[in-house]
Amino acid sequence: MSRPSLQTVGEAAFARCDRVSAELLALTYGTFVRQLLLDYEKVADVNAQLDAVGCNIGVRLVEDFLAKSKIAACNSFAHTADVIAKVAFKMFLGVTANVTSWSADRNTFSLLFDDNPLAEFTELPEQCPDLWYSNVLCGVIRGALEMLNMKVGCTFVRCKLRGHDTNEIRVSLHELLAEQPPQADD
Amino acid sequence: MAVYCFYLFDRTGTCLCYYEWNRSRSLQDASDDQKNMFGMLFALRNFSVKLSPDPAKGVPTFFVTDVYALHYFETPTGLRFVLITSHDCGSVDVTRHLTDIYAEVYVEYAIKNPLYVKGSKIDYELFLSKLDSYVRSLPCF
Repeated sequence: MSRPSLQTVGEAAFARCDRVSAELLALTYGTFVRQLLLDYEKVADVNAQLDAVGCNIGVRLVEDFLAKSKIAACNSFAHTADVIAKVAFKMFLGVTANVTSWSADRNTFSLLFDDNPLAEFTELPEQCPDLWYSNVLCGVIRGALEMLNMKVGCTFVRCKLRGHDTNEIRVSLHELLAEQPPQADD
Repeated sequence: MAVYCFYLFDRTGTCLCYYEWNRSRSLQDASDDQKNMFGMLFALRNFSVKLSPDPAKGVPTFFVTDVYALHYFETPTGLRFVLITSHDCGSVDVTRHLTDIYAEVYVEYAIKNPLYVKGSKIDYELFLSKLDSYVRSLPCF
């Protein structure tokens, strides 16, 4: 019995989704980041805001992801990484990522992707070289995995907008959260 | 065949939605009923997994008594969907319909509703009417 590969699952989920034009997404996101840069003085605050917004998106998006991709529960963190890279990225961004650079304890990995639909038409202005423009993605991954009882840390380490050769997000697993039993009545 | 009622719990045990169709015995105390339901499912599920030869599997999908059947579906995010029907629906795959309720009703009309605060009770008319019409269209209703 052959199980469909994650690529196939990702493409099927992508086909099932409603789509908006990539330009619309890129331009709307660009406007949003721009507004944040006006509202917050420090670039570090903007990065944090993008992460927080992403986290709120992630806790909801994970439900849509599970419902549409019809994927079964992952049995290992490595499997989770592949599902994010091959299915989730494909479904929501239309691109796939590569999982590389596993740490020795198998708790940290990197997601590499060349095409970033969010950053199309974008150039980083000179006055904010420290902006992680697509930091919202980190938040989304963190929020989504939190709903699946995985506490992770998620940061951008390379971004094409900063002149690096590819985009890289580093994801590291901090702990698996235990299921909480219902609270007893007082 | 009949459908009696529907429960939706989140991972903390909060009852996000309770809906009843023809539950003949009325409830004394709805919140008590929901708490007991969640407690029973929590214990049943965890013990059932403990009995299973494969530690990652063994989540119950339904149980049948001489008058009613309880159908159960949980998501990896800890949502628990419960539908109580008459006992003759026991052999019908109602759990599949619960996954549809998750994908087509909960995700579409609660999660994608920007006004809905996650973890709070869902009392939006659109959500409830979609749930109602979905369940009414089931062959086992």
